[in-house]
Amino acid sequence: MSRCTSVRPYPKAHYRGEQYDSDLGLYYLRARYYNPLTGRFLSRDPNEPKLRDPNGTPIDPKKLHKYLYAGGDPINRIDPRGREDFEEEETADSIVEKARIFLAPLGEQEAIVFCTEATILWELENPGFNPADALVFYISCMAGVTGSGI
Amino acid sequence: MFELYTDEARRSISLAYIAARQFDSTKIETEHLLLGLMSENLAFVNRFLAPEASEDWLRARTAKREDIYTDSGDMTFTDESNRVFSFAAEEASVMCCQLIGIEHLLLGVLREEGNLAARMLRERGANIERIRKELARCPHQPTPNSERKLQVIERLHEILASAGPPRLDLPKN
Repeated sequence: MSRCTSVRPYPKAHYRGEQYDSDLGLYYLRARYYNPLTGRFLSRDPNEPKLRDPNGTPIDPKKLHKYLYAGGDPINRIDPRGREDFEEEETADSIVEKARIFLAPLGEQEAIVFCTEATILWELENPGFNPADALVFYISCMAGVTGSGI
Repeated sequence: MFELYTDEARRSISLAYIAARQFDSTKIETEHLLLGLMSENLAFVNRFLAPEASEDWLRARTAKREDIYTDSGDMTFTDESNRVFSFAAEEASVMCCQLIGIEHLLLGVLREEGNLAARMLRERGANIERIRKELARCPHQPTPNSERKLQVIERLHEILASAGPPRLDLPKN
């Protein structure tokens, strides 16, 4: 019986945390596949193009492109369903994730300041929180950024 | 317990939890409450101090505890801190405020005489009667949450930018 001995390490950072098919070199975005090399979807937009929005305002002409990803602005906009792009909202979770992926490990002092600020942001997003929950967020934030708690 | 607190006051209390943890304390002392107030709104606290104080100044005066945090999750307030909350509730009631804000917590810290935080505030010229008069003349206006959120995001971007170049782990294939 043969046994697989070579295991490909699981890639740590993928664009927007989406599922990347390394055999195809494409991202799976539910309705369509996305090719990161060309910045285009593999198939046409499943939605019928509309020239005006519900208020009667002419839409951005880039939205008429059948294959373009996120209106040509993949840094600031996202299209996780392959159907409609929108501006990415920065949340405490997304910022912590960004720090964890891109900047770990921060120095301890930097991490303390960063996590304290991220906790304030988390609290602003969670009105009526219990302060003990904020502490739990802070500890998990420290663990995410530095690789261990304090 | 904190249903009657403003968002700002709640944040300052959770920042006090965080400060206590950073100082390896299992108890939330009045100096941690003051650190929380200063972390949340330094400009507000400095409105009543001369010379102005900084978080670093307060942190340098706050001692590390020997009762190392054990991850049991049991963070409790000291008796002094609980009295601060009672005083803060009284102050809010006297000022006819429905919610307890950071201004009431600051007055509560000062009213709990003899504790380290009150001593440090008095060293910097804080006077309870003067603060009450000042608040009656010009009540504290909390920063709107939307504006505060933008400030925090900007601050986080600064920290991320100063932490060095991105360390990307790109897929091998």
